[in-house]
Amino acid sequence: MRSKRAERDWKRRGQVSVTFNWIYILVAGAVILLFFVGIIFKQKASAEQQLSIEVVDILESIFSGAQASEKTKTPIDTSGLADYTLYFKCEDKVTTYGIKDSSGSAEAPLAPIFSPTELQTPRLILWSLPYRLPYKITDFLLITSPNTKYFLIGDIKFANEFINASDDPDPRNKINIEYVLAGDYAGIDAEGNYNVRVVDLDGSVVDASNPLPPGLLQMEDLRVTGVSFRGNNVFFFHKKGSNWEAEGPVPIVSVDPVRDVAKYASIIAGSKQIYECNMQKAFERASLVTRAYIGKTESLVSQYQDDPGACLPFLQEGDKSAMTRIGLLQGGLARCGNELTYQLCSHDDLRNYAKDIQTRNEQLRTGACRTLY
Amino acid sequence: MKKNKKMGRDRKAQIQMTETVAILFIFFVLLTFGIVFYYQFQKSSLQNKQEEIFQRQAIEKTTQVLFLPELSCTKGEGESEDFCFDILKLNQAEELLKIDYYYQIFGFATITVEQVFPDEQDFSGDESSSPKIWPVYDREKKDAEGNVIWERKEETRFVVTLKDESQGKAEYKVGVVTVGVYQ
Repeated sequence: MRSKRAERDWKRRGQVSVTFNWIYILVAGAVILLFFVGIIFKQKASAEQQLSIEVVDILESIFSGAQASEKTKTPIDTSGLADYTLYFKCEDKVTTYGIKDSSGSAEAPLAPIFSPTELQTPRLILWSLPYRLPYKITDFLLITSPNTKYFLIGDIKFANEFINASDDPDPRNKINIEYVLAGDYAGIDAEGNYNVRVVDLDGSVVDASNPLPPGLLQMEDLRVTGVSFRGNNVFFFHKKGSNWEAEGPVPIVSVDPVRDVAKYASIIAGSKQIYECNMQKAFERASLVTRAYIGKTESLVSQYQDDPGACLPFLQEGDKSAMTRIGLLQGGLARCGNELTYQLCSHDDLRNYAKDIQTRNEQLRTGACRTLY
Repeated sequence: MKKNKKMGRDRKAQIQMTETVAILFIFFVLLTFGIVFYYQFQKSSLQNKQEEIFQRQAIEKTTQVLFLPELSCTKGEGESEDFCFDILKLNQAEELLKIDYYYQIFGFATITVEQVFPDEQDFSGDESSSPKIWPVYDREKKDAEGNVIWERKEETRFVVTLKDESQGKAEYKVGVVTVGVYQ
């Protein structure tokens, strides 16, 4: 027979054992639970990272495809990414884009991509346009969205041209543009758009001395930007409180009197930096394309040496000959491609050289000679 | 009697121990099986992804060559003629495309343009004359010692028009552009 004391000890041991079992189960359960919760969080983060990488990867392919298809507009359904913010920036001649606050991003070191700095949209509109100086240099890719609104003010002729050029039979490709009279500037309203760009075509409305329209005051500073065209320069502005803050001017280098792609790109580019940086890319490429044309001009000159006729002078004679001007253009472009400053790069010279080459090419064409381009 | 009881408890413990070891063994076998299966699955999906990227790069590079302003024909106003290369530009291309800038576009690749019609041999009647080939870009994947290190070469061909203005007026010929991409 067990003694009373032994029986008490036995019961106590049983109680301790049961309590210990429960604690053990609780601890083990909590560890297992934490392990799975950890896996779920890790998996979620990894899935989001994977998604951002895949999205950027797809965008990269779409952008390079869209850029190759000249003069086309392509709608890209991004409804699955409507809650995410796409960002675009350009530094040291490299465009970087991706999903904000995620690790996935892509770089475009060569292709000029003009877009607002941020987009949050169920659809992207990609517009590819050829940039000429005076021959084709590259295709500019303009990226915007239906919820980015462009208010055009002044110069009705250019406004109509831009509205017609950006128009498309496919409603999904229509850029959100409205023409506003200078007198109605104060009535401009955000209308629930994600970004608003005020385009002052006469250079008289958007200025640091002029306050913002009251309808834009509620928007975030980053979402409201403006451009003002004055002579051959475009001045960039962004909202700061209730005023415009100047970012500075950038020269527009172009020889096209209509469908001026460099001007169109400045309307779409979200900041001075995006415009300037991508134009530098274009100038760098232009310098190389011009080398190809120098080679072609030399071949044409040597062909015409045996039978000079009326064609050779257009190519070789005088300081405004195609040969001279194309050499000067190449040098100027190389300088502008490296540093887009007023000290090293003369945009007026670039424009003049390109116009002279254009004139010589036209003279060659009308003189039944072989043309440069 | 006490001894018998102790022996019984020991045997029970031994059986429980064996059970635990067996369970642990099965658990680790299953775990190893799962890890191997997952590794194989990841390896195969990675290979598929690499293949997909490689194929896409090959197509992208071919597209970029076809629309390269440094090679393409123009129609007076700077408009490009689709799928057409200017022979006067092709003659200069190899030198121009040696610049590092083009490595960023084409990477490790070989691009050649060959005139296939009219056949120059038939045209000149000279059996020894070789077909007209323009090596446009040539960057083979090599290590620091110059040894070839590529495993695969994917070639894409595309028929193009060749515009020849060397004889005074523009003549159009048929050519094939071959873009070889290295992996």
